[in-house]
Amino acid sequence: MAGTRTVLVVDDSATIAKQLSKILEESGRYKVVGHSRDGLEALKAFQSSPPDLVCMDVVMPNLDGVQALRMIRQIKPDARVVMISSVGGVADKLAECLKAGATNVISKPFDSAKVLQVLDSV
Amino acid sequence: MAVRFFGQFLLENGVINAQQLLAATSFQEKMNLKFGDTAIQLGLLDKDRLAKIFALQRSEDIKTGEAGIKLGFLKEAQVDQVLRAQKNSHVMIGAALVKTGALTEAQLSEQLQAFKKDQDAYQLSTGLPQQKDATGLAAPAIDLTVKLLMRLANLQVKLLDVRYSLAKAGGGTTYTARVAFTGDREGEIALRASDRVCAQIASAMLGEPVAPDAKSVILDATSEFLNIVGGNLSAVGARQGKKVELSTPRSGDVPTDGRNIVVARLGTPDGDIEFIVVVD
Repeated sequence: MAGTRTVLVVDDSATIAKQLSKILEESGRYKVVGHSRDGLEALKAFQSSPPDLVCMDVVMPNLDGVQALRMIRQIKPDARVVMISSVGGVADKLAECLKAGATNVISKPFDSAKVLQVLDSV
Repeated sequence: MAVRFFGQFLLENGVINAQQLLAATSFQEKMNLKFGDTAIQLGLLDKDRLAKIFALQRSEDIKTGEAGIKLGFLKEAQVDQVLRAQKNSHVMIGAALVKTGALTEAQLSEQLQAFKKDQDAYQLSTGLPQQKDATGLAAPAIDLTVKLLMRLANLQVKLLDVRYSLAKAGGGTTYTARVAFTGDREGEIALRASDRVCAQIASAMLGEPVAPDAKSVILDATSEFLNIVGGNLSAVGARQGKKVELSTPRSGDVPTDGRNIVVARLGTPDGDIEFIVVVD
């Protein structure tokens, strides 16, 4: 699939992972190469095969998104990680993600055009 | 069974049949334009601007008119103009039944009186007493849940009543999704409903049919719905200067011992939803 970018989706919710994967795959511009259910699984997946992009939930069991983001950035400082948040209206959570190195943030519930606009821009 | 909507009341009492109700609701859908469509009809918005308003509404709990003002597309007076136009042209279900020939004016008047009498038995709370909602989070949580059930799950929802204790689940299969919150306020929000109602929420969330016995899919999707409610609630908390952080969703019975509980019973055409706010 030349011209497509690979994406690792990280969310403890299969519903959200499915929704997001559908949006990305249907655009024809992204290939979802994996789904991790928490930050630890994401770290393992990232280390074994770094994708072009990581889309990762903020609130997850075991290792939350912000901590996993920091560790991914230690492994690969220029890793592109877009955080998925249901707390779009909370400015300090957004700031925490961006300070930890998030490339951008997408809000739940998803607006597919907005998701693609954000991902295309990173 | 509590009566939720006038149309359902008429149907259950055999005053009208399902085809007549469907014809009347179709008539309503045709006649009752949404805010955005009314604004377009009045020449105050165009489709591109309306799309931008909808995009903003997906990330903020904000009405269409408010979003239009925030984006600089509408002025307050124009929002009022749209709301007036909507109100003046709005066709209620009773009038739609008359227009489509299911009821006469006299029958409508008689049935409305009977409906009002019936509804008095289900008097709704118009607000929560402060001692029952000391954190100030239960009332906005209920409000958000009603709005999001309508917006995200495409459900017709009506607040039936508010209680301050949680009874055991009734007969039949029910699912309970829960999301805990911590921070300046600690507790959890939960949603309990029949497998059929939860399957409807899951189907809307996933954009594909979900069977009522698909337990793990339903629990995941309803938990995620609740997570979105919680996310919006933390934004409400932030506006009140309270930090509220969400934990990962879970399922199972809600512990009630020693906890302050507010239970909002929400009516949908297919069964009630109990939305529970617990503050430790």
